[in-house]
Amino acid sequence: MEFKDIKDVLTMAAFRPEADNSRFPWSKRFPGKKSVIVNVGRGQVKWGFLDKKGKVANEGVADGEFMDVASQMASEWRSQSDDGWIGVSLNNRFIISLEHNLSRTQGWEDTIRNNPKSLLGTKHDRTKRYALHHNPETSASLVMACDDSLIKSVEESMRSHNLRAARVCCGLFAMTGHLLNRINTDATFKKQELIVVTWCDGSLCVLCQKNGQWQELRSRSGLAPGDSSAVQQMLRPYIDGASPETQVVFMGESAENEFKQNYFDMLGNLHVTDVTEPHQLWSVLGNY
Amino acid sequence: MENIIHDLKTERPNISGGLPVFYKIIPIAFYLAVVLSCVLCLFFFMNFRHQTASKEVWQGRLNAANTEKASLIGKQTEMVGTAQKADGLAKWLEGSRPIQPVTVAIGRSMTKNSTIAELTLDRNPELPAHTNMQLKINGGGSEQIETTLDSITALNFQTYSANQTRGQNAIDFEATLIWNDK
Repeated sequence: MEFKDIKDVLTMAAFRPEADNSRFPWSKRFPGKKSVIVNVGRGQVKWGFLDKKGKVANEGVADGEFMDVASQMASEWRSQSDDGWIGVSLNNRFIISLEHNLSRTQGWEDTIRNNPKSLLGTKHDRTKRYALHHNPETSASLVMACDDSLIKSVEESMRSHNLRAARVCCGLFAMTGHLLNRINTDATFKKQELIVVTWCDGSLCVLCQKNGQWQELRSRSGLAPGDSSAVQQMLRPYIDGASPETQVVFMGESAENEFKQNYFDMLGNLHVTDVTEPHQLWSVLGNY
Repeated sequence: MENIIHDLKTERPNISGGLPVFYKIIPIAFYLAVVLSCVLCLFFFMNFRHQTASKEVWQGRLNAANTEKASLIGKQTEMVGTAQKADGLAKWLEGSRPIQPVTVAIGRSMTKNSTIAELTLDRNPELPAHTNMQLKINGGGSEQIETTLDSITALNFQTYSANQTRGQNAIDFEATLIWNDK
């Protein structure tokens, strides 16, 4: 037994999960500690510094690939996080799809990481890593597939700069799951006809929901800034098929986001409820 | 697990989820012991200070009592001395008390043919009750001595070591008078 073990017991640190334990939410892994969350986009990297209370203390952005930005920012990221743990949100080279009748046996959270083929069957691609979000009341599930090579390259870059990945996730998928959970717990929203739109730094996910049933989903990652035609192409089928009672529920990565500024007009006369909070992406990733 | 965000990273083996909550009793017991120790130390320290102050008070009282005791002993010694002096004075008074009636009785016992030539009554300093009497009578004779001794005996004095010397027309009588208080 080393002195550190005794110290960890006396400071209660030994009773907390390790920082990279994916079974626990971020707030339980870093209670009273500073942390850094990085959002890796297409040709752009954003980061947010969370203080000891889990609130956003500062944020920054740099153009370039993650490997280049990390080489410049690694020391600052380390200084702003206790023990050098970083949370990474991948915002490129992923796709979200809607599937039905996927197995939900106990421990599916571990199975989708360790043995996704047993859950996805023929849909499994060995060059991808997967995450799931189930509709608690129907058989529908959201499946997010991200390039395995991207994750490995990010992990390798972090290791080379003496950074440690506490979590690698998809920010858009996390925001979408968070928003769908909120809708599911709100009885008035749940029964309505909704178009759920989530936007995270150039990545878009649009889901049509009727009476709590997920009908159709489209997503694109790494859209170029100002690529309105791609956005319009995604939104058009939903807007054309919308009834006058259809509502749009929107969540962006921050209060002032590109979609709100440039693409809200594409939603036409539909009633839009913007549930975006300040630092939405950082607060979702820093709490759950 | 519902609200926990997914994780895509390569899993590290043997990731700890933390020790079981039950074992929190160990650090809690440790901190309780530390706090209890501090409280006890504080209690003992306060008690020690209180006892030290109390000891000083009682030490002061002891010193005052000793001083008072010494003063009382001094007064007692003085009183004992005074009592001894008074006792001596009382004994002296006791010894001297009958002398005056004795002189009167001796004087009155003289017949018309006898006169007192010399009368000395000396009190013994060691034994104040003992009075040495030296009496020189001109004229008279043994009858006069008998009469005088009867007068003295009537005053409850007894004569010891009586010695008389007969001279020419005079008698020297010497005796020790002792008060008989029966």
